[in-house]
Amino acid sequence: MIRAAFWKEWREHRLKYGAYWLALNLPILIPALCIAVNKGARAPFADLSNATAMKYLGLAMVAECYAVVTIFMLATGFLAAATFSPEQEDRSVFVLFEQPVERWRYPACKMLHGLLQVGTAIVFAVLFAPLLAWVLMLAGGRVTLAGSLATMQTVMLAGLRGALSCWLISAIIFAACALITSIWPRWWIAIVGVVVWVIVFWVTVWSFFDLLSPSFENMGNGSVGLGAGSPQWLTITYSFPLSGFPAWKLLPTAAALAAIAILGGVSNWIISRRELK
Amino acid sequence: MNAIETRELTRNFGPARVVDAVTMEIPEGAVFGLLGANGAGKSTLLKLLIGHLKPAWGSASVFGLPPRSPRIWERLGYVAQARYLPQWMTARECLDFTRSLRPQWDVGKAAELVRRLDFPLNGRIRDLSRGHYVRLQIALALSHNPAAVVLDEPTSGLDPVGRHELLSILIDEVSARGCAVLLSSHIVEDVERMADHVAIMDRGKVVANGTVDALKTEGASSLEQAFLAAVGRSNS
Repeated sequence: MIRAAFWKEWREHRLKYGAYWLALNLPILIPALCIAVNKGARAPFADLSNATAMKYLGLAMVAECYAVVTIFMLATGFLAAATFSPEQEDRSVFVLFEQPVERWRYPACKMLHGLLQVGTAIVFAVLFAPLLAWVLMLAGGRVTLAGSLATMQTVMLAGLRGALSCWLISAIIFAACALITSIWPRWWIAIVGVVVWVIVFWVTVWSFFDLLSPSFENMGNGSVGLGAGSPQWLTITYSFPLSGFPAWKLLPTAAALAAIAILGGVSNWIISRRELK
Repeated sequence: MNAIETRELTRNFGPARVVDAVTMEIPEGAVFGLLGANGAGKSTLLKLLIGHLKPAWGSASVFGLPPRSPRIWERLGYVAQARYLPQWMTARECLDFTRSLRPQWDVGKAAELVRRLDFPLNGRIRDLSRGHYVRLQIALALSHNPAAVVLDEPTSGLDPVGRHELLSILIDEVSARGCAVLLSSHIVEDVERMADHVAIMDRGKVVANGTVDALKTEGASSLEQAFLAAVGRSNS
């Protein structure tokens, strides 16, 4: 069942998943390409030493984490609506209910597939950001592979933890938007519902589930400077405390897992009880 | 054991009663026709039987199991009137996908049906004509050697040649395996050709029920006359 359902999901929605992957990586890819093709723009990275590389790599990773749980929440919500809405609108979900398989299994597989897609897209995007920055630094010449490898490992490990934290928040959004779409399968109602839900989430409970910001609370003074027109257009004096990133807390983590399970379960229940009128 | 049974099966859509206390029994191996005009409640009754709709009250069972039990699909095939197979799939993908969900799938039988029904395997379902679409549905419904098959207006929208050909294939298939059939149609000729027992529905109710010969002897010389008389009596 899982294999068949995963095949159907991927085959039916692969372009949407591809678009989601691209959306998550575009903010990194576009600046990276601009920097890569312009020698002058590479100046801040060329002047880096192994000792200061950590600040830049950490910034790329942290920035991508924040992008995922802020502006890309809408993309995650739209992905849920775009993958849950069509087969309820065109009623093709009933083909699945005409098989000798419990009705709840297919929506459950669909939710699992969606959450895995969101998770892998986030892990890739979060790790891709420092990886690209690192490649640019290596291309600059002052940062060496041997001298920066340990730093890179620290950043990548922190990135993995950060991506997991981002996935928890994004999974709440995905499951909630899947539920909205299960209640109102019409795509345009689902889209409006997604936007409203994401805004409500931001305003009300985002700070509760935010595991990223608390890790920077005792960071001390520092700055991220953007100097337009100057060769040294990017200056970072922060030293990101990546060993404690993100700041895991039991209550928000448990609440996030419970929210994902409840929202996903209710969505599943609604879909499996749907009638073909 | 009866293949399909209903007791006082009733369903409303808003204030309208679409299926009204329908009681019927279809024994294993019987070919049962459900005849009624458009809007008589035939499709709704079939959806209640296979669990796509829930009854307001009354009950139904398929091989002794409730309609929402997934186990009924181990022994049941269904051809829907509505077009809701995934439109983006090719016919071949749809067959493979269904095979992966049905342990009872008979690969040899499926190949034979595909050859016999002769529909384009590599065409997207959205591009299939009504005739080819129904043929694909029949292949999907019969490839696991079901003990009962429910057909909802399979010949509706087909030209006379296509209808004749499709019914011939269906008759061959069901008579060869002796499976129970519930055929819903508003085309009297199709029901008469295939069924040995007929229920006539009008406005959600079964207004006449019996063998084709018995219905004909009730003052009508043909099944069409019996159908019109039963509907007329119900309306008066």
